[in-house]
Amino acid sequence: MSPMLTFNSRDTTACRIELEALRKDKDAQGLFARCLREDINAPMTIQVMKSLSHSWFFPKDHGTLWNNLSESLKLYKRPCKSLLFNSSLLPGNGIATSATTSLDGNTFAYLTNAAVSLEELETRRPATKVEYEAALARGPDKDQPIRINIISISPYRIRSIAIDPKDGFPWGTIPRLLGLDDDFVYVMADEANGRCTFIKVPCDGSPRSEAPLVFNCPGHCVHFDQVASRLWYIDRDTKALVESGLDGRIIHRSTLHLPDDLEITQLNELVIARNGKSIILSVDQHYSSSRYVFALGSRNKVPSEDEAEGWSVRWFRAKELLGTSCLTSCLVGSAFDNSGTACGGDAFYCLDQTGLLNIVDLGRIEDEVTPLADLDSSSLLVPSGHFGTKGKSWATGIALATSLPLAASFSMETNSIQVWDLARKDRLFELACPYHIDEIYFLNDDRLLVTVERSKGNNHGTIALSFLDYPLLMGKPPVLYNAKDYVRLKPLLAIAPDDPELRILEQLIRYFASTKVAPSSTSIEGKESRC
Amino acid sequence: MLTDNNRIFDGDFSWLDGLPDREKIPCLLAATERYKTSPVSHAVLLHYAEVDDLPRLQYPELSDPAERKKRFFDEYMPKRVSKSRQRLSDYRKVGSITIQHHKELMRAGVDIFHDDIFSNLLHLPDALKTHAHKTEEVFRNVGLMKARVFSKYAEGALPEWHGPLSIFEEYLYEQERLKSLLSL
Repeated sequence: MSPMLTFNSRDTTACRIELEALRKDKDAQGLFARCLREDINAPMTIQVMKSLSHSWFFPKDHGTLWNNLSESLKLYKRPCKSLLFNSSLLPGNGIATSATTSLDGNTFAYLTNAAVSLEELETRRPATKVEYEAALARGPDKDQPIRINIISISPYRIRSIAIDPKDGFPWGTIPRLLGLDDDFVYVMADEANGRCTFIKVPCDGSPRSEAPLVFNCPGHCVHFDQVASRLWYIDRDTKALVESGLDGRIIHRSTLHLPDDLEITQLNELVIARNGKSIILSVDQHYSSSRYVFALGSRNKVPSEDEAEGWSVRWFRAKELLGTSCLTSCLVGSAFDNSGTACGGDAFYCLDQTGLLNIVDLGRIEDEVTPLADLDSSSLLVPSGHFGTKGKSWATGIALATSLPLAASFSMETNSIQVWDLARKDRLFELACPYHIDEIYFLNDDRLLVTVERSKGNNHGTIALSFLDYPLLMGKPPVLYNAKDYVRLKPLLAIAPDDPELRILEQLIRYFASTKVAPSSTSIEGKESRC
Repeated sequence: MLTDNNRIFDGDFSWLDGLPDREKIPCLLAATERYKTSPVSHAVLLHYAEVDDLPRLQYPELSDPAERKKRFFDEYMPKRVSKSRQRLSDYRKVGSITIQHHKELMRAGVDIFHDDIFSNLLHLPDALKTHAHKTEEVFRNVGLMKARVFSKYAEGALPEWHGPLSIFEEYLYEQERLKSLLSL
């Protein structure tokens, strides 16, 4: 099954009807002029031009462009799919049980059970499709040590460190990566009974010096704050929210007041704002019979004597939230205003069961004026986009870009990766994807999207790279191409130099970046210029 | 010198690769002759000429093993020898082209006997024949097999070349290059 491309979420039905009418009238000149208008994106333009290239047609305007394109149009068959979900470009076997990126999005690491031996990572060529399939079928190899492959983007550097299972993790646990910096990889191993082991693994492969930090915590209720070197978790036995240093020293402990009909095991995810002043705590969707969806908490302004009073928490019920019945995934990131500049504050980005991205702006919660209990619950979650689907999307990944106001998530309902524009609070485009994507990461100044796919019943899956520049270029009308787009296209040509589609794009960009086209009334320049 | 000539019958002449160029054809002919006459290898011959499928498949109309053996050496082997002669001349052509560019390549840190470049060249006799007059084409083809950066070097588009890159590295390299170009 190959991935389909659907760029841009805008409705193109009207344009298609118009083009079809022109085609039936056999108005080649009209068709050519129509496909260069600003409401038609590059794939449609290329499709129209391809159909015209079979005839003896020659356009009245843009004759040079047509001459330049004629060769490539003859060769063009289908969109270049190697730029989306390419699983053979990252070094190593590319089969991960868990993955993570550094905070700046420059380094990527994945944990592999070494289904393919990686002793010679530096000299190894990327695995072929056959090797992937063989390795995937074989599954994790119990005899091989667990390996962490670390890939730095600029300067390009790859490392592979082995963790001896005897020395590393308790038997039977599934380790996952929490974070990564220049010196350490932070790994967490969950046991079935809720026991968690936190380990710092040195990136240079030297033996660990610190003893692992062991605690008891339900589900995924661990939040790792890499900037502040803090680990937050909910203690299963004492029902307390614990703030701990990475060495195991407990900094703060406060009792969490759960509603009467909510068990501690029903909690799903804990996320703390980066300033440590707010928390969001979501309830596991499998317990959707419970009336509660999530809890917001803020640290009390006046430090009280009683430790139990450290946080004020408010639980939100489904009926208060106008349709949102559970949150599948939450992240914390910078808040952006409508123009796309960071406001300085934080926001929680939550994916709900319909695959819609909701934003909780923490500026409103953290200001002194309104107490948490008085907040209007119906306007708390600000949804991105204006559509909702009926189906439920179970555990899905969500990622925030490091510099641009972008977020990416996977929706099981439409089987696509959705890229959200956080400034416009709308969907930028979606990439239809035949795989079940579990984890998503932005890399390399938000130009690469790394996805980890999970097959049914497996805890390991393949890693694929998607080049975001490609859908961004394809989603744009050719007349709006400018010199910046050429910068975006040139590295892609290094990957697929002989691809006719990229050649066509190159010609279009070269032509329209140097030609001034008379602006039409329906300008959508502002919409596309930001990214 | 020839330790494993049985492979002649499988059409495998790779043992010739280890020999100096000028000795290859005589060695091949000598090996064939030796097999025709040598009593030592009679058992092997009988195996091939009577039991094995190779002569039988070549000459299914002949029922007599002796006849089959004779035809095998008179018709099949000369064909193989001429084919391998052709291959050797291709090798020589590649060798001379590579050696022409050797110094230049060495200066850039490319060891033609390393990095599989030479063996890649050897697998491109067709490309060599078609583009015998323009060597950079051949290098471009070789480059496409390993990394396009190398081909750029071979075409003179790159001043230096530091070793084989993966396609992903090339993407990043191109990005960095553009960034530095734009900042200037």
